Amino acid sequence: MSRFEPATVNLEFDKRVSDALQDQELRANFRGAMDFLVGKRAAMFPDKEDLEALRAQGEAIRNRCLSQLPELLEQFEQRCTENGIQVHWAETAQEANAIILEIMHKHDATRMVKGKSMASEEIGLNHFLADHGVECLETDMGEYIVQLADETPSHIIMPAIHKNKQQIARLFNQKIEGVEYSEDVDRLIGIGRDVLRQKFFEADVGLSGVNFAVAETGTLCLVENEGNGRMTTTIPPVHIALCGIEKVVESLQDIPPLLRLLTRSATGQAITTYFNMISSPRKPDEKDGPREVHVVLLDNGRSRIYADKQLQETLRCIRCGACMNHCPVYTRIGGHAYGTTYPGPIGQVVSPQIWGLHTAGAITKACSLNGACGEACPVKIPLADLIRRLRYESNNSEPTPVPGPRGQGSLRKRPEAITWKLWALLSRKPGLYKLVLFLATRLRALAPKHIGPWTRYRSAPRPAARSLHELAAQRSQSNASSQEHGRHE
Amino acid sequence: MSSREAILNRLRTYRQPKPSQPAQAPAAASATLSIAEKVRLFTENLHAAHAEVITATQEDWTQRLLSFWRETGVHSVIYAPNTAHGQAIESAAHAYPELQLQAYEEDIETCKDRLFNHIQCGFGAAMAGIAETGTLMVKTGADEPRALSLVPPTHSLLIHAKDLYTDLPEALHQTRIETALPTNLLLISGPSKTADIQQTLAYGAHGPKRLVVVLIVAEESDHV
Repeated sequence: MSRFEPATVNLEFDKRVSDALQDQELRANFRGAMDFLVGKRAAMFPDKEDLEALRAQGEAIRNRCLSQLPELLEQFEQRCTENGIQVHWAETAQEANAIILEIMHKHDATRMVKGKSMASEEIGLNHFLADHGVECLETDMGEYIVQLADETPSHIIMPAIHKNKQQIARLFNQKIEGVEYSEDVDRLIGIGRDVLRQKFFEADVGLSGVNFAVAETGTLCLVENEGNGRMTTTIPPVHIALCGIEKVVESLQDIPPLLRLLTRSATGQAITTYFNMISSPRKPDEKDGPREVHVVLLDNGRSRIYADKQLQETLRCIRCGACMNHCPVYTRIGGHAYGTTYPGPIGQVVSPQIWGLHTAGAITKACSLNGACGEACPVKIPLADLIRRLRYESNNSEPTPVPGPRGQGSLRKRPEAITWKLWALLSRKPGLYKLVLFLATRLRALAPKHIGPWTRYRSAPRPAARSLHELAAQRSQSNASSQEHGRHE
Repeated sequence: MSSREAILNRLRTYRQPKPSQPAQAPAAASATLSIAEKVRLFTENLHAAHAEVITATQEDWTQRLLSFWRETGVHSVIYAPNTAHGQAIESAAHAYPELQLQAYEEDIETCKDRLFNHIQCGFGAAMAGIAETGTLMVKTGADEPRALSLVPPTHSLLIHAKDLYTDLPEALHQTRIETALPTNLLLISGPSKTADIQQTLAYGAHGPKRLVVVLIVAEESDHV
């Protein structure tokens, strides 16, 4: 397994979940935050019909763009090049990291400031650059907090959502020189602002993600509230944008509905403070802005996801995080329990496809298939269906006509497979079914008292004294005899 | 084979047929509001986003902005000198001798320290406004440097009521901006903010802590 893949997701998943469930502070932090975000989103969509029309529009735009993805990517590349933006293509995480490092080397750069980019988390950029002597500083306030604590984001929109202000106050007090303990949020933000301003001032290169890439105009769109995205893409002399290949849209006209859906679904805002649309590096008569802009188009498994008609729906995602906010499992275990860059329902779909079921397939277990995520999704990704499909693929050992997720059948367990085979057999043979049912009810005293994790918090189920069939038969017999008896009177 | 070719080949090989559903549900035509309605909605939304709005006329806007700066202790302002609004404030500033007006004439590499550590306010203009969200559309370029609206702790921005549009699709369509996109087109809706610490809203995360919008209404009917 390469160092750019999370090695321990499947191995440590159960333990992570168990630890998260026992952490009362963490659970309280998530409960409060999720209720807050769910309420904010609901307030933004008071009319259900309007919401449904907008979701249908969002879904249609994304489907249309995905159906033309190769042409749109080529058009985007051409427009960018015409505008003076340099375009690079990366098939893998390793390749993306190498491209970014090469740009850094070309400029003798050792200090990078980063705007928010989940794709950079996905490719493990911070660690890679640190190994090559480059300081890579997160500048989104939540990401900065998480980086300071030597952790990873636990939510794709609000990375430090798992921490309360007391924990952040302690962290700043311990990790930033000369900072006194303060729980005042304005004060804490002010401290972060001061530290990061100096870093923006000094940085050689700024790296950002991309929310939408417009093919028609060669424009990079960035959605944010803080201004760190603008700082990152404006102040350093070089800007590198890391962009998943699925982020391309056809034209500028596609942007308003998607932006509307994104901000309202993510944080319950009609619009964010800044919507930044970058179409070129600094022009000769301009006073500021980077002199070089690079875009790294990242595949890292996306073209494989594209191959399967059903799984391709994953690529509609606009990374709003609404699915995790509405997920009862995520609300209780938090983002870190998943152990992957992308947590929650969309993470359960994306992560096993990027890193393979053999690496990250186990997280699909953390789903009750209640469907709340799919109902909240602004571009109507049928998340529960996709999670179910990936569970199936985890156990499926049959070859598939298109590539499909890596690691098919890797979570297949012999006893489980045999159990289901027996169940299928019993369901097809009524005589055998009756016999097994008879034995199960008569020998119920022999039923095991402990059956693995199920009985850790619950008592074991015990067969009834009589099967439903027998009880129903008994009842109809006694009804018949009482009617018979009545007639004789 | 290059990565580019490999990626594009895979996408072409496995492309799904175009969706049979209509490419895009027709967008509901937004009702076009009167200027007075747009002014009201725009102001209301800016206030909700914690921005300050000074409603003025073409005649008195410089005085009103200078008074605001004086009252709030703003003594150093950076502006773009080759613009009508820049020249207007430059002429009017004689009446405010304590004010240090600095023209954004040098490249950022030269004036970075001043910009980051000494200037209190950046002054510029917006090309359009969006009433529905209280958003200012700023076309950056030689006359509107990007850092002007980003680095100083206060950002003052001029806009004319006639440049207000109901929503983003209308603004994009009417300004025909897609035919001449600048290096950096900005939509700004309030001062910089974050809710990253326990969902508590705090202003001035990285960009300006204050956004002051000077809204020029031309006629009586433009007023609320």
